[in-house]
Formats: sequence, C-alpha cells, structure tokens
Amino acid sequence: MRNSSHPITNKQKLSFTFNGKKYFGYKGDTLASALIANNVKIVGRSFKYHRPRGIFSAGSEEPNALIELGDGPYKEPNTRATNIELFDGLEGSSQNFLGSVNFDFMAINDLLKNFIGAGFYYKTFMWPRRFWEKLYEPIIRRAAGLGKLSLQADPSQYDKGYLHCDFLIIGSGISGLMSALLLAETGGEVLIVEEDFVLGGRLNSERSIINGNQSSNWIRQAVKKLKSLKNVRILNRTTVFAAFDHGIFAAIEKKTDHILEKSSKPRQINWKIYTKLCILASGAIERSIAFPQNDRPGIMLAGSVRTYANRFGAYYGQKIAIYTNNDDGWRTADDLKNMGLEIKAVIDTRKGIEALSSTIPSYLGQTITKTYGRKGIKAIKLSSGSKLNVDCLAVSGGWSSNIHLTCHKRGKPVWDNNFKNFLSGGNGQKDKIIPVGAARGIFEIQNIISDTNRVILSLIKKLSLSMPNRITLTSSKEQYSCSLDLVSRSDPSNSFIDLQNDVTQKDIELSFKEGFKSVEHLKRYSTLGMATDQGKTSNILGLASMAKLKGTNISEVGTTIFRPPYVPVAISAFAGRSRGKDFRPTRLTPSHNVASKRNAVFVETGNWLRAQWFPEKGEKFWRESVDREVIQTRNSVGICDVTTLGKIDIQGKDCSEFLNFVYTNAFAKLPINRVRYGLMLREDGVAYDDGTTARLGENHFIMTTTTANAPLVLRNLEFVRQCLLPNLDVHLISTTDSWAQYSVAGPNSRRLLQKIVDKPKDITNENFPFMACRELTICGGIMARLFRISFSGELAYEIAVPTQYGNALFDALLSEGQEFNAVPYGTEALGVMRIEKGHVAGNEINGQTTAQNLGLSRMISKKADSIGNILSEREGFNRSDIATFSGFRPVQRNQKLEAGSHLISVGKKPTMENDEGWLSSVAFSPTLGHYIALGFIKRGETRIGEKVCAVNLLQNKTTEVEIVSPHFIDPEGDKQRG
Amino acid sequence: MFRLTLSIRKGINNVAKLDLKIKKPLDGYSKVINQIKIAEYQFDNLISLAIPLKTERKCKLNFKKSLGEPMPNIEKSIIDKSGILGFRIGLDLLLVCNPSHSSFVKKTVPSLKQAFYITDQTGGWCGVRVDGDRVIEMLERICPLNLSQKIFAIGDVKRTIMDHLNVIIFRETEKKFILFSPSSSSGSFLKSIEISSRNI
Repeated sequence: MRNSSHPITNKQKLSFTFNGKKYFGYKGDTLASALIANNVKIVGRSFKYHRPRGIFSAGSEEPNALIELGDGPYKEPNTRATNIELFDGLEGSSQNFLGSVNFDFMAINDLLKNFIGAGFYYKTFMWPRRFWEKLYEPIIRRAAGLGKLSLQADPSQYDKGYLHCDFLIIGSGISGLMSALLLAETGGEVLIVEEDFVLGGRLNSERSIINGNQSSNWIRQAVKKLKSLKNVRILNRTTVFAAFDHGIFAAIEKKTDHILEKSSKPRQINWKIYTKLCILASGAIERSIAFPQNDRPGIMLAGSVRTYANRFGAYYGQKIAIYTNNDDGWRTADDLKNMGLEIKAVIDTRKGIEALSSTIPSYLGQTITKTYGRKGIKAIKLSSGSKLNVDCLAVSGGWSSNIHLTCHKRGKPVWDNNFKNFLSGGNGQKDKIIPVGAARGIFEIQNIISDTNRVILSLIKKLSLSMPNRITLTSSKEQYSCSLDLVSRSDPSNSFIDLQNDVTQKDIELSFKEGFKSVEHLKRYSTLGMATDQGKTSNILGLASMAKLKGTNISEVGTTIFRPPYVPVAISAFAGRSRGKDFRPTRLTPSHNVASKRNAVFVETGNWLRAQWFPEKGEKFWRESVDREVIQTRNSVGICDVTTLGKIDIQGKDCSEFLNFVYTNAFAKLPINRVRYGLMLREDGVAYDDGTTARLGENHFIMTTTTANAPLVLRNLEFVRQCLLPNLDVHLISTTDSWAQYSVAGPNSRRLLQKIVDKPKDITNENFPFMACRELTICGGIMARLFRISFSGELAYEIAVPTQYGNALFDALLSEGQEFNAVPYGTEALGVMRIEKGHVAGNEINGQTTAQNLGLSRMISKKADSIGNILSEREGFNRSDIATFSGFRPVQRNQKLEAGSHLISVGKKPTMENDEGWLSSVAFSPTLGHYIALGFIKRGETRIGEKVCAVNLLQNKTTEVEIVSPHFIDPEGDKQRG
Repeated sequence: MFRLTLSIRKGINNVAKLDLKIKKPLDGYSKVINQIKIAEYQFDNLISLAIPLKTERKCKLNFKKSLGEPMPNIEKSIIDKSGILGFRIGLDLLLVCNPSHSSFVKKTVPSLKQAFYITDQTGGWCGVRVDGDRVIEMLERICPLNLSQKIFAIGDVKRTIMDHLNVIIFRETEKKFILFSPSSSSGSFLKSIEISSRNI
C-alpha cells in the first residue's frame, strides 16, 4: 500500500501494466516500489522449484523480481524490477512459469524438491547416454529457466563512447558526494557515476539528519555545488559493470529506458572510462538469514523495507516483524513504527544484548523456526514456540561491503571479523581503486563522514595536489554491530541460502558430504552465487554454512571472487552501433561509382567492396558473365580495378638494402624503371606474401602486396625498419588509398593505352618491355604510373593515377576502349585468368606452404641474408617428396573439380596416410572449355601426366584428375612479352 | 623533378582529348546535425614529409625556409600565412596540407624536397571539419582520446582510431576539429560522424 501523505504522491501519476493488469504509480517510483504500493505480492517463480516469490530487495542485488520488460522485438528478459525506473506505459511481466505466475503448473517441482537437489542432473541423467542431448537437456532447460528471448533482432539503438577523468567516483551516497566535493577542489577532472536515477545513494532510503536537517537537503546542496563546477561531470542511470587494467572501467548508461516513446537516440551507451584513480563509494548490500521457509513473498531485506517506506512511501504490509542479527534491523523497526505501522516484534538472534527500543516487542536470542503462507507470509513461529501473525517479515543478516569491482583484477577480498564483512584486502591502492564509506566497511554515518574526510584528504596529500578544507558535517548518531547468526540447522531442505538458484542449506550440506568443501567446488556443485545476481545477498550465507559444517570460520573458508559484469548487460550494448552493414567500415574502390552504373555485382574482400563481375543483358548465371569477361579480355582488352592491392611507397638511401632483407631475392641491382617479382618469407621460412616492386628512382621503390595482407605486410616492414634495421635510412608510407590502379589486359591493351598516354612517351615493346615501369602523364597532364606487368598472362599493363582521378579514368578507359570492344572485368574473371596462367595467390600462399612447395626455391638468395632464409633450409622443407605446385585437369573433361579436394593415388583409400596433396584453386576455364585446378602434390614436377584421384569427402565425390603443368596457357610467356 | 597532380596540367601537347574530372571523396558534403557543422575539408594537395635518418637539423632549417614557420614538434602543428597546414605525426614524419595556395606545388614542394622524402597522398586522405558547441560530446562517441584542452590543446594533432578507422585529428579551435581518414573508407567514416552527431 502507499502512504498517501508521502511526497511522491505529489508527483506525476503514471500508469503501467504488470502481467496484463493495469496499475498506477508515480514519477520517481521503481517498478518494484510501484508493485509493492499496488499490493502485488507474487512477482515471479523461483528458478528450479518454481516457488512463488516476491520482491526481496531494492537494488541490483535482487534475486527474485526478474521481469520481462517490453514486448515483441523490444522485449528484454531478466531485468530487475528494483532497478527499473517507472514510466508511463511500462509493460512488465513475470517469467519462468507454466500457466500463470499465481498458478504455475511447474510448481510440482517443489513437491519433488527432496529428489532434485544439487548435483541431481549430474548423477541421474547418465543413462542412456544418447538421451542427454535430445531428451533430458531440452526438458530440463524448459523446466528451469529464466526469461525468454524474443528471438527477433533488437530494433533499439545502442552506442559506445569514451570518457576521461582524473577521479572516477562510483556511487553518489554521502561518501561519494563528499569525495567528489573534496577532489573537485584539487582542479582535477571528476566523474561521478550513479546507478540510480536520483543522486544520494543510501541517504535517499534513510531518515538521517545532516547539519540539523533531513539528509535530502544536504544532497541537494552538494549536487548543486558539484553541478556548478566545470571540472565535475555527473552521470546518473549509469552502472559501472567492469574494472580493467590501466584505470579503465566499463559503464552502461541508460539513456532512454525510462521513456516509452521509441526514441531515435540510443537506448544505452557503453562507456569506456579512463581514469587515474577510482573512488569506490558503492555502498553495501544487505544479506539475508537462512531459516525454514525463508523465501515466502513478503519476506524481504530489512533495509529494503525501509527504502520502500522512506523513499517511496510504499509498504509491503502493515503487521511487520523484523528478524535480525545486527543493530540495523532495529533501525527498520524504528522507522516503520514512526510511520504508524504496527511492529509485531523484533526477533534478534543475539543473546545477551539489550533491546535497542523499549517500545517495540522484542525476542532476544531467538530464531524463526517456521513461516506460514505460501503466496504471501501470514505468520512466523519462533524458537520459543510463539507464533506471530505478520504480513511482512523484514530480515537483516548484516551488511556486506559492495567490493565487486575490486575483484575484477583478481583482488581477493579479506574477511573483517569486526563487522563480519569482506573488505577489498588492500588491493585497492595497487589497483588504484580506493573504497570509501560503506564499501570500506564503515556503516555508521558519523564514522563515514570522518573516515571519508580522512581517506580522501590523505590521498590528496599523497598526490601533492592543492589541499582542500575538510568537510564539516554534523549528523545523527548511528550504531552498528553484527553477529554471524546466518544459518539455522532445522529444516535444511527449506532453508534457502541462494534465492535465485534455489540453493538450500541441504544443498550446502550435501556438497560438504560429497567432498566439495572448497568454495570454488561448492559454487560449481551447488550453483551458489551464480546467475544474474552473482550471489550478492547469498554468498556470505553459503560461506557461513560451509564454515559451520567444517567447524571453522569464514576467513578460513575463504570466498570466490566476483567477475564482470556487475549487473547483466545487453549483448547489443557490447555491439553498440556495429551491427549489420555497420559491423565494420566499408572501403570503396575508386571505380565504384562507374562499376555500380554498370550493374557490377560486388563482393566483400576484407573491408573492400570489389566488383565481382559485370552482368550484361540476357546473362542469367554468373558464369556467363565471367566467361564472357575472360574471353573478351583474352581476345581484345579488359579493364579491372586492382587498387585494393597494397601499395607501399619506400624511400631512403638504404631502401635497396632493406628490400634485400625483407624479400628472398635481390633488389639492389634492379634498374630504375624496372619491376621485379618478390617473395617474402616468415621468420620460420614459410611463405608470407608476394608481389611486384617497381624502382622509380635510385632511392625510391613502390612495393605491391596482396589485398588481404596489405596492412600486415606494412606492419611487418615497419617492425623490420624500426626494430631490426633501425640504422637504415628507409621510410615507408602506405599509398594504397592514394593511387587508383587498373589492370589493362589483352592483346589490344597497348593500343588502348596509347590513346590516353601523353606523347612523346613511347610504350611500344622495344621501349617499354615486359616488367618495365615509368612515371608519365596521361589525358593532358595527369600524373600517372605505368607498369608492364601481367597477372592474366596476356599482354598487360597496370596504370595508376591519383585516386581523385580514378573514377574518371576507369570511365575513360571503357569509353576509349569501345572501338576494341573493351570489357570491364571483376575479381572472378581475374581469378580465372590467373589460374589459367598458373600464378600463385592467397589460396596457395596460405601460411602452410614454403618457397619449395611453391616451386620458388630458386628465388631464395644464397648469397645474402633475408628474413626466413636460414630456416627455409630446414631438412623437412627440402625433402625430395614434398608437395609441389602443380596443375590438374579432370580426366573426363566434362567433370567439375572442387577446391579443397585431397589427392590420393588411384586405387588407394582416402585416408590421412594416403593423402598426397590438395587442390588449392579451381576454376572453369572458358579458354580451354573445362575445369582446371592448381594445387600441391608430392613430387608433382616429376609426375606430369600421372592420374590421381581428387577426393572431396564433404561431398562424397571422387574425380580422377591428371597432373599437368600449372601454366595452362602460354607457358612460355610469349603473350605477356609480346 | 617532383611532380604533383595539379602541377603538370599545362603546356602538354599531343595528348588524348580527354578531361578527367576530379572526384572528391565526399563530393563536398556539408550538413548541420544537432548544432554540429560537418563539412568536407577540401584541399588541393596533401603530402607527407619523411625526415631522412640523422638529418633533423637540416630538415628544420629547410622547413623554416620553405614554409616560413618552424618545424613543429611531435603532435604539434603550424599554419603558414597562406593557410598551409603542417603537422608532425611522428618522430620522422610530417604531413603538409595545402588547401588552395597556388605556388605550393611549384615553389614549396621543390624546396621541401631538398631535405625531405616526399610522398604525394592527396588522394589518400579525406578531411572532415566538425565544428560546434556540442562537438566534444559527439567526438566522445568515437574518439578514444582525451580531448580536454589541458591534454589536447588548440593546434595539437594525434593519430588515433575512430570506429575501427585510422584517423588523424587536428584541433583548430576549442570546438573545431579537422579529422583526416583514409579516402577509401570515407563514406563509412562520414556515416560514423553523422550517427555520433545524431546520437548525442
């Protein structure tokens, strides 16, 4: 119910639906507070036993109230009602039930509880083995699950971003705000990150007095001051969910989750925060107590009951009992009593203490032995035998410092026996994460004020920053002491340790009995502390239980550590805007516009979009286009955009020496205006990349690389330049994007180029022979580079112009080439022609082959050192039976070949032992009228004419092939030299 | 002789009757999104200057002589009287961007060539100028650098990665930047800037 005089009722009224029923709440509510105010008792079903569950907490630690939010593709499962800011039109629903949340047929599991405890699956579903994947696992997954995905693409927008600060302050409670005020005065950049939609942290839940007024007054003043400072930035609705090395933190900011209208703005932003220091003011999380039937709706954490009453004016019940092992439980009783609610009793497990309130009935040194009310608590029974009728039971097992983030870099928490609490264990200083306030194990407000002053001022002093004045605050006095009475031994199968995973005291006992006594084993065996809440309210209970069983204490038992993320994060938030077509950048070639107008079909090669083929009217099948492009090129002239090949400008007095070292073959004596083919090896002697390098001047070379390897080769060359040969005068600049380059191939290529090259440059064979290159001008003064090189085996050139002229040049070549019936050709025709000619490419230089495999061993200089030279001499690389580069054609010419087929001698079984090689590249040759292939086979050069089988085990297909020369056309090279 | 694209269009006889038109990477794009003006930063020439080994002193003198400004330190820049922008992006590497000064190719480049190794990169880069009160908010979405003026002052330049792309960022004023990215992926980069501007 709602306290009608609470200030929240003066705010905007909001309507929302839960499980299809309409309710009202107020701006400033969470979904959880609004449900409590509307007397909604059951919000979900438990994970395994499908027991009815109600709201348990008021924050990220919530184990029960997991909600499916939204509908259709916007649906998001497993959101915590306690973290959902209420908005007009919100649609929420319970999850994990069969039937309705109030009448869940799967609740039959609860009756079978004694048979399906921890480890049940591992022991039971062992036989028959084949039933596991098809029967057992699907049934179990249906029976025990969390929310359901919509299975549709999430249409919301997500984004990423980067923030920098000197001090990152996580949390905006009193210690966070004090830290921010102090650190801001040093002039450093301060970033405050708060998970809640309002600032103030735990103060919003309390009736604390600061400087003689309600603490909300001080929050307002502090926030106003911080907002006025230019060096302070505040992000609310933002959760830091991970801490990484070097002061990097990840945080999710909810930008539009609290707005109904589907916004064009991103729903969430995944921030990467760089900071010099982190102040962890993340407060503390209350823990529960395990006692029989302690999971009924209406049994809540005492601090949360206080939060709902103080902050939201929402009461779960009116006859309330408090069950506590510490002083803070009494505070809840005081607050609620002051609001006029009936406090039936405070049951304090501690013996020998005095009641902290004389006006509240108290039962000291007692425990709860039973509770009543399946769908909402009705009564409790005490160890003394007394039975009390209640409609809400507030439980406090003490507070645990919220040190989740200090564990992300393997910081091991340390047990503090004073406050019965794990602390960050001194890793904070090293990791530059400094806890303050409750996160440091300080729970009374007056001590938090003095301690935060002390910690932050000493930090500022240590950093030698300008020293601000300490913040003087007077506050109400609080006291906190706590016992470790967390688990009861009676009715262990109904005493829940971990509400989210339905882990009971019995499961812990079973784990102990079966030898899983280490905390790591306990966690895996029982699932304690797993799933969305990561055991925030339950871990200590589990450890206390194990400590009792082992007859030791928690510090001896130890603890598992938390891992990122602190709260569940939508996968889409990790992807950000990198989805679909925007997954990665697209690189367009200079001829892209002209190619698009000519209906090119594009293919992704790395980030590039390259024209794959250019279909013409009437062509229905891709190979019709490709065959035509090949034939027209071989008969007359074709033009292909080869800009994507890597181009590296190499200048310097020592660049020929540098090239001698990175290539296996010598370049020092390459004449100016000549091109040479080069092969690079890795340091282990395996082939790395190949390409041509042209010498434009005494100290100026242009290297080309394969498209795929362009960035890697440049990186490798830079490594050589900077680390291996730093004393050489060499400079490398990638000019791949600076020059548009086109292959002009075919018998009429020279005649076409003669139409655009400015005279008096002569490109006849006599003056511009095969492997020549030159800088010249075209089309009336446009600077260009012409290379007489051929990938197709035809008379061919590659012409390069500055990129800004690339589109126009491609168009011009095609229009000027009309008289020769010039054709644009794409990567498919390019590939077919290189296979026909027998050139190696990426399929052959694939990281598994050597110069010896490729038949290029003669390119390895014996005189000079080069990368990979020594290791290429290894015995295994030079055996006589290594697989060598060869050509293959089907014996039955009409048969199709498949790349990847393994080569086996005729009559032998296709086994690893009989494997003699493989087909690396396959194409239909329109020139020859049948399929051809390149590949590798043992002693290939000595087996020309021999027949072997090409076996494709994936397609269960065997084709007899003949070993031939890899050069299917013009093996002597007359065409390209003509 | 070093030749640049625009230096050799005159005085050539016996040429094919073709006129190759220049295509700028973003075709002169200009738009305002969320108070951020996004416009292609157009230039006539962009060259890189590599400092030959152990010739820093000679290069400094030559730079001063050629451009009238001292050679900038690493990640710093100069703008000469005619608007030519020079910035040093590494120990031995500078970029010089000529927006439209007519004598750049005929005089400045040959002068620089006396000391530096020069590579024409005019077609390799695309410039985008972003300008406006919310420009830092926008850049926070793609730029991993700390753009606080204490760290990245006016005139500073850095190489970085934005949305997977190699970018050189230059701060012209408090709220005005020029971003250079490879021309082949300029469409993706522009889209990234547009999305970032819309998303703030």
